[in-house]
Amino acid sequence: MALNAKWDELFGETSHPGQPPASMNLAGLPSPDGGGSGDPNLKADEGPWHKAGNTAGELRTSTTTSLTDLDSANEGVTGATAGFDSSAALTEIFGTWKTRLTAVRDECGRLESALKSAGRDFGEREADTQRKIAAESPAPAQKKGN
Amino acid sequence: MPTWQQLRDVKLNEYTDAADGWGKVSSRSNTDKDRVDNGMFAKIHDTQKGETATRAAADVQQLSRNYQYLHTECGLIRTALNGLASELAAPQKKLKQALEDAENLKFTVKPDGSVEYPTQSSVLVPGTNTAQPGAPIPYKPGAAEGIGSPDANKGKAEDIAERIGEAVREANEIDGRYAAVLRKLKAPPGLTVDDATLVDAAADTKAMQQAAGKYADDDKIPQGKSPKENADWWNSLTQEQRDEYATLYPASVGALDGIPSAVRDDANRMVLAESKAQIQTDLKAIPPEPFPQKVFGGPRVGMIYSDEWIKWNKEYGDRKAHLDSSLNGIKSIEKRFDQTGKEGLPEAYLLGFSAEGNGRAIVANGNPDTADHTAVYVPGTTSNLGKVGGDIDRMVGLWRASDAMGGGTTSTITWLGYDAPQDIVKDAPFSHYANDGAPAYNKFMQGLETAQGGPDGSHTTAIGHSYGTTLIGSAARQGDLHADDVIFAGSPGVQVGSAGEMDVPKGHVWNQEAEDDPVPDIGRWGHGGSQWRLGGGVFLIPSDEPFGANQMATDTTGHSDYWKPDTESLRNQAAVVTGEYGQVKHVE
Repeated sequence: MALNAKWDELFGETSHPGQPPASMNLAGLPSPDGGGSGDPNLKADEGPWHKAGNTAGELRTSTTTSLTDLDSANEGVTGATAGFDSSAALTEIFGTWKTRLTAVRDECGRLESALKSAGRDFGEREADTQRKIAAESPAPAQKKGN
Repeated sequence: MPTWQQLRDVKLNEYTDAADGWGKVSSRSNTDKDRVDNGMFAKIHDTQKGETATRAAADVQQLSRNYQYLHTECGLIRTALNGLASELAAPQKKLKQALEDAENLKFTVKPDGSVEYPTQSSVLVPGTNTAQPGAPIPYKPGAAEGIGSPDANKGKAEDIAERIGEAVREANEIDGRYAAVLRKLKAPPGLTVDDATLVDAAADTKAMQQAAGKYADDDKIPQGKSPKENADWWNSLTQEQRDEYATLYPASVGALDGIPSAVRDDANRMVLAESKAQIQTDLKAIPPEPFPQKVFGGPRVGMIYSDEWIKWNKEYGDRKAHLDSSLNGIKSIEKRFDQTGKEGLPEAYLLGFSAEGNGRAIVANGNPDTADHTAVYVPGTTSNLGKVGGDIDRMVGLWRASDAMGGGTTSTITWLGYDAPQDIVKDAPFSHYANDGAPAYNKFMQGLETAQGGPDGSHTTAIGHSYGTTLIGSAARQGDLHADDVIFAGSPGVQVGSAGEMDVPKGHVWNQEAEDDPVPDIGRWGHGGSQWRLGGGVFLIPSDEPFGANQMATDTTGHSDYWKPDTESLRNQAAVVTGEYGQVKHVE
């Protein structure tokens, strides 16, 4: 795939929240030609795009915690505060923030994959791959898992 | 609308527990925003060029804005729930007291809030009667009517019924007020945080200030107090209260000298984001400037402004110019935010911001609270928010030069915290701009000192350019500078006549006058100081030998190049800022 087309796929679809992030699949599957590894969980090297991707992964976890916090915070409120309109108002807005936080969490996941994938395209390599290249040089990098 | 039974039974701790949860989300989002800025954006920004890399950076910035938005809005929801619980406690207590009184008297409170009581009369048959709330005045419940009434229980029951009714009415008012403001705090779906979102967020904040004003009162934020008193107040709050004040009153908290720089930065960044959104919205509402401005008015008058343009200009001209200028300044500050991480540049801290009037912008490179060395630069004539970009760049340059000295961590700060003279001829000869701004500078410097943990917390240098040196001189004259070193560049005079009056140890006032800088010799007649001693004089400026400043060498020319990168002029300043006095090159 041409780099630009791939970039479009990685970063061009953010305005469609309903659409599954294409990059997740892209980064999560080994390339059909076996070149390079698509595993986003490989130990990343020190490249800035990988680091940014790692941070996105951490933020995904952090935002998941926020979602949990919100759920437990609102548990039982309505029952214990019957008759109060504020509780009804809270219930109304609670759902909208859950949706928002979920979108943010998913965006972190999308960015994690997309940034790491971008890092590879920019020539950043996972430590594993680099070691392999070093070990097997000058032969081309061995396919992984094939 | 709660009944008295619901008011009795409501578990207010459920609201405060829920508030804790929203508060956690708010605080975590604030931290997460910093992680996006420093752990993502700063890493990838500028590492790759091209449209696609730019798009990735834009997505990351959008994520950052989302966390900032979550920080504010979830913080407001937290405050609403705490305010609700706190305010409902009073009517609930009132109700419970009334119910207790009823029980002690063996009265029965009926479901509709009326109170049934045993009649106490020598003439009537023993039985029961019912008191309703709201006994008509002057038959004041429990008082007027009770006294001398044939039935003493009647007055007591009416009093109880009235108290129950009042408690429920109060609870209703509180509940209604918070319900209305909570309903405003809906999250739009998706990930967009645009001008409309932020203008809404600012309106939400205002609405919450109104609704929760009794609970979190902005009168409690110190005003016009010393930085030490500000810090004492801040330290007296619980973490939750601090978070509440920071999200509910970001402008006040952001301006508070003496509290931690990281807190001020977060608050001011929100103010900046919301101001930008408002300004852009306002600009869009202004109709386009008629074109062309000028039309042919006939052979005798030639080209004249068109009626259409004159009308437009009269109505919108000044306002548009001000909005444009503010927006320009905001973009310069944002540009500095985006530079973090580039060639080692540390995080920016926005320690002051306002788009009112000439504007305010106080921007630090690196956290001054923890820096070994701090430099606070005051720009001169014609500086304002719209042009602050150049002044920010100067302190970025000084940070790099100081960092290259290798003598510990440095924070360099652009302090546009005063209304500078805007016209060299009409305004700059006057002292009042300096005199009015100097107390704010002293307070800012003292606030840094407080946040740094005392005078020994950081080695601090006051730096002035042009009219900024006059302000620093005025600050030393009027109060205490709270600095260890002073650097003047292109000074037209500093109101005092000797280095000894600059509030720093002997030998710690440094001056630079570049070749062909006309300002010092013009300015002395307006801003020079005097020394009434032998060898002294009048109209003295820091460039004069009797003033007693160290004269540092410059290799730049003119009035505006003292911070040109890779120059001796700048390196000398960096040497003073980092306390590497041995490396300063003096004028031969």
